[in-house]
Amino acid sequence: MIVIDAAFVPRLAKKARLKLDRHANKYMIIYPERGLELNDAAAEIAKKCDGSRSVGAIADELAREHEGAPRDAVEHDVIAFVSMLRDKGLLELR
Amino acid sequence: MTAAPTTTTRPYTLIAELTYRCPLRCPYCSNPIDYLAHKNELSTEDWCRVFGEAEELGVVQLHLTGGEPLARKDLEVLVARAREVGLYVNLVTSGIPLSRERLEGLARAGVDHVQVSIQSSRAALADEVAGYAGHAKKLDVMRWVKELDLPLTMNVVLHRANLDEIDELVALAEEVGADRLELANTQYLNWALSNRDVLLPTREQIERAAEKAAPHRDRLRGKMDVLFVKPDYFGTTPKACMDGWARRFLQIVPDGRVVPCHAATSITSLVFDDVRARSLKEIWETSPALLAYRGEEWMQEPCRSCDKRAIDFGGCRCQAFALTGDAAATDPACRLSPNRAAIDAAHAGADAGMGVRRYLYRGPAARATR
Repeated sequence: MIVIDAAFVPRLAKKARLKLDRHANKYMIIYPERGLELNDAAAEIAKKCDGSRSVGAIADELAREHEGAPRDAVEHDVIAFVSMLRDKGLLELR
Repeated sequence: MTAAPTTTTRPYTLIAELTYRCPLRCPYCSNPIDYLAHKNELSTEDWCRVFGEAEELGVVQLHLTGGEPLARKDLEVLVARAREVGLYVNLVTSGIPLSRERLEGLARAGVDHVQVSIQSSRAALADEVAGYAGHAKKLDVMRWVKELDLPLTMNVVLHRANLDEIDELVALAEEVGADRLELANTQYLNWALSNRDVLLPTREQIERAAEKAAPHRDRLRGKMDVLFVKPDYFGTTPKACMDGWARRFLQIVPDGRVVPCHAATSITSLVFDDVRARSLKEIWETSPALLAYRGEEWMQEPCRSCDKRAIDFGGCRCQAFALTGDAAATDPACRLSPNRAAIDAAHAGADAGMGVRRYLYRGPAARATR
C-alpha cells in the first residue's frame, strides 16, 4: 500500500467525480454505487487533488489561505484525508 | 437553483429498469415472475423527463439496468441525457449483445461506470447458469471496458454451484483489471425464490467463502474493492434492506411504475404510481405504496419496540410478504421473528435438494432442464 507523505502527489481516480451537491450545498465525491459527503475543509483539500501538486504544497496553500492555521496541523489533516481516499480506492495510482 | 426538497427524506439513487428484455435466463433473475405481462416500456422522452425530475429531487446516482439495458436502441440517448443533468451513470449489463463500437459510443455518451455480470469462473458452468452461451463474450466485454479506461465492476451472484469459486473469481477480476468485485449472495425473491431449493448453499459453504474473501479484500484494498456480504438466511439479524423503504433509493420499472426496490411489485397488496400520470416528486412524496413502509409507523412487534429498528428498518418487506403473507411483518431472517421457522424450512428444503441441479430458468415457458 502506497504511503502518503508530503511528497506524494494526489489525484482523484477517474471513477471519482467531485461535485457540488446543490441540494445540500455541500461537495460530494461520487463513485460507483457510493457517495461521500465532504465537510468544507475536506472539500477544499479534494479540489486540490488534481495531480498538479504534492501533499506538502497543498498544505502550504491551505495554511496561506487560512491565516492562523498551523502549517503542520494542516499537513496532518491533508495526509489523513488523502489516506482515506487511498483506502477507498479513490486515488489514481498510476 | 430550486429549493431543497421539503421532505425529510431524499432519494440519492435512481434504479432505472429500462426493459425486462434479456437474452440471459438466469434462475435467480430479480425481475418479476410475470415480467412478460409488462411490455409497455417507457419512451425515450419519458425517461429523459424522469432523469431531470430525479435530479431535481436529489438523485445523484443512476443505475441503468433491466433486463438487459442494451436491448434499448435509445440507450446512448438516455446516457447522454443523464449526464447532461449531472447524474453519475452506472451501466449494469450482461455485456450481451455488445460490440466494441457500441461500447465506445456509450463511453462517448458519458457512461461513468460499467458493471458486468459473470455467472462463474468456469465457462461451462457460467453458460449453464445463464441458460445462454455468453461467458467468452463477457470476458471480451470486460477487457474492452478497461481498454476504454472506464471503471469496471465484475458482479457475481453467488449460490450453491459457484460459492466455492471465491479464489478463482477474485483471480478473474484481477486478470481483467476490475476496480470492484461484487460477490453478491443470492437474495431469495422472485425467480430466486422459485429456485431456492437448488440455489441455497450450506452454512459450511458460506463460512468457507467468507473466510476466503476476507484476505483478498485486505490484500487488494485501495486497488480493487472486494465486497462479500453474508446472506441474511444465515444470520440472526435482517439486512437493512435498501437502507429503508423508499428512503434513499428510488426505482422505476420498465412500464413506468415507481417502486422502492426490484422485488416490490411482488407485494400484491400495493398499487404503484406511474410516472406517465404524475410527476416523480409528487409520487416520491405522496404515493401510498411508498408511504406504506417508510419510517416506523407501520411496524408491528417485535420491530415496533426494538432498539435496532432504526438500523435494520425491520428487514426486507418483500421477504416478509413472500414468507409470511404480511408485508408489515418482521422479516423472518430476524431471530426475533415469530415466523423464523420459514427460514429453517428453507434450509431443510435446500438440504433435500442437495446434489440436484435442475433450474427453473427465467423465460416465457419456464422449463427445467438437466
